[in-house]
Amino acid sequence: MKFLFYLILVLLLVPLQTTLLPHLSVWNIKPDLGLVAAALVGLFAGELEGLLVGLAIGWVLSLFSAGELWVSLLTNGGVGLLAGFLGRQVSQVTSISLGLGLLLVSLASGLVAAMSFKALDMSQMWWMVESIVFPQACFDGVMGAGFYWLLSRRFNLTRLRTE
Amino acid sequence: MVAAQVIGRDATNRYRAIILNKGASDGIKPDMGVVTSAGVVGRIVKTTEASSVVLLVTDSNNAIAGLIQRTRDEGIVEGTQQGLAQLKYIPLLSTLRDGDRVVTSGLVGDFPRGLVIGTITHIEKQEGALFQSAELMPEVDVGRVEEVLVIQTSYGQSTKAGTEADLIRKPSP
Repeated sequence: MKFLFYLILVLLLVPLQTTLLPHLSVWNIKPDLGLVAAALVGLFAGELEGLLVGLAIGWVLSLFSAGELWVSLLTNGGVGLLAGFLGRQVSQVTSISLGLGLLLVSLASGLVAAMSFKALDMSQMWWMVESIVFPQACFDGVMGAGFYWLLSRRFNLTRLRTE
Repeated sequence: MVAAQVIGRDATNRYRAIILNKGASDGIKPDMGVVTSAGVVGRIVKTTEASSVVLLVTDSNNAIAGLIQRTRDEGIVEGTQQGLAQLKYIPLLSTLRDGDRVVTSGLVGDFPRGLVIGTITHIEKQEGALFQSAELMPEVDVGRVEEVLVIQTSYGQSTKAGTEADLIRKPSP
């Protein structure tokens, strides 16, 4: 059942990210729902499932992106793993703390991706961070916080409390 | 040529790319050129069985061999981060001017010669530089493109991306 849920989640992300979100983008920036999903799965289900689902999301989304596979695997898998670890260490997760965490993680993954670009000089790198990486990180943080708020209102999130 | 429809945009914000509804099962391979009736759109960078990803001419990771139609000076067309394109490595003695049209040179890659890439809007000549460069307005509005043609065989040559097996299957003349 869980496997089916993850499968549907991963497959649903592709049309959402490639077809729907470009129409809902703000200043040509759209959130990375793959990153948000990997973080939420890691947070709710633990680091192993976060890592595996993150890797699956990274692989599937990289099929529909001009980016390199390893960047996608590293960022999405890494976020799932990190969220799983943090979920066990933090006593109580709130939508604001999750949003801030996602902002930082998205910023880090955006910087990794920007550094993987060949022949980018310092001014181009700065332009990319300023106009793509940072706005997207803010967007991801808001989306993650929003999804968490919705889920926490709907379900009893006992997994997130330390025993 | 294979006609294809645009079914999506790049899954990330970091690349300017579109997704087509035709893939490896339709004979599409990486490095094939993609055009519309207006001009060059980009080139294939990835394929699955049923879809393919086209890196647009406006992406800074893309490079296409170009030629100024009037002066016949060659250069490399690259995308800019602002979503336009630029022609780089133009000889210093070139007499290019605003409004000149840039077309594919056909020397490198899978584009035939003479496909329109864009029009020069601004020329940049720096003191002491070995080359000059020019900003281009791409001929195709890549943000609104819906249907494209994928060039499977370049002018005067067989498919470069073809494998040895493909060559064996071809009937002898």
